[in-house]
Amino acid sequence: MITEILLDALCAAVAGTGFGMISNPPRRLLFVAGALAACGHALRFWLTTGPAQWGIASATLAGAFVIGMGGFVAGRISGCPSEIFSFPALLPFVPGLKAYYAVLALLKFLRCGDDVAAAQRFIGEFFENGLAAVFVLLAIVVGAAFSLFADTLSIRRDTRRLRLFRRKNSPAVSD
Amino acid sequence: MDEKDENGASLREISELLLDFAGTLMCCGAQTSRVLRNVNRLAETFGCEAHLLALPRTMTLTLSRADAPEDSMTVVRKVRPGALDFRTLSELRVLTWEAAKNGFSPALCRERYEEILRGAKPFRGWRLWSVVACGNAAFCYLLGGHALPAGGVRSSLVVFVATFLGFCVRERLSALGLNHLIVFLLSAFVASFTAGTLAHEMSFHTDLAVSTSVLFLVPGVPLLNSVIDLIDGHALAGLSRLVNATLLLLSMTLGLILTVVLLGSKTLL
Repeated sequence: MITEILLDALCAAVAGTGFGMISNPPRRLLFVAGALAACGHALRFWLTTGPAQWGIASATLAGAFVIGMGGFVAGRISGCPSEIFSFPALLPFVPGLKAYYAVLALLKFLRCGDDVAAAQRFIGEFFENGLAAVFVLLAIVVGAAFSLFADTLSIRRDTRRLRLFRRKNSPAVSD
Repeated sequence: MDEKDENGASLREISELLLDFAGTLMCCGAQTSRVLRNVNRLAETFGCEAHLLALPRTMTLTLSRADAPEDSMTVVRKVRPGALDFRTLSELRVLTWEAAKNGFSPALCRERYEEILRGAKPFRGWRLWSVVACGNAAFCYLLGGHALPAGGVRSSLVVFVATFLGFCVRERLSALGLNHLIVFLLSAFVASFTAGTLAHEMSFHTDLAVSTSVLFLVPGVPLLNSVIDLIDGHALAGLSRLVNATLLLLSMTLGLILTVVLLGSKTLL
């Protein structure tokens, strides 16, 4: 089990770093996105396949939350926006295979003609995979949104401090 | 009406700077609330009050002096499309904080802004294609490759080649200035067709390789930004981004469907 979790973490780190390169992040910080992807994906893997046996959407929410909060902390330490760390790390969560199966099931449904049993099976597959993809996507966004709200709150606090600092140091502003 | 302040900057010059700044942030992949916060921070630094309506393709800014709100100026600007660039986004954000803390003048901010844009050298060419291809191959292994005794490694290799070619097509066609939806459709087709053909020739089940080969095209950042904009209350910007991202996804799916139709769904399952 531990070997599988480590392998999952390693693959997620490579995937997160690879996809992250598309958005041209600061290169010295890219490894943080890889590390966050590894943590988040390993947690999802453990939650879905370990003793907890969580569903894919709730496990994705937990993984995305960990990545989001990790991105927030990394952003506060480095002074960069948190999405630089969290967005590339979240990309390996994207439910591509489910979406593909949904499209394939829809194509087969359109082609099955008068075979009612096959039509029912394919439309069932379409909804099963399509809805799973939608819920996983929502879980990713909600998990990531926590970190952005934390980021917004901390920036508001910093802005208030900056205004206080200006008032103390500038007579023109305090007038 | 358009008098210069103590730094010699007129409202027009400050508006131009703020709109350039906001447009670059928007293109680089910032969510709308971040664009507004950064623009307001800069405007406050220059002793102005800014009201910005930021949409992905157009921006409208009304700017007035904080000490003379009756004199205001409204400027509308078209946003030029650009590639995601988190490095520039990060440096621009740092610039706004530095400007606010040290009281930079508009001229100094403009100079630093131009410097940041000149310094932006994105990672391009075969090295980028290889890194993205490695990422997608690892993603393939992650999505189920490890569950297949031998097919996993072969699927990942096929995905590496397919992604490399698909990304190369995407970069080349984008450089030609082709419509981005057509670029996505053709890139998805090239990547999935390559994956399907290679996997078929190597005689193993191809669903995993074909489905994963196009995932480098998923517009993850625009999708996340659109939903965050919607949650944040920027409904117009969020919907606009969501529609754009959905169109890209549809183009990608059409490219994939073209492969499925050409190779036959029986070959792919």
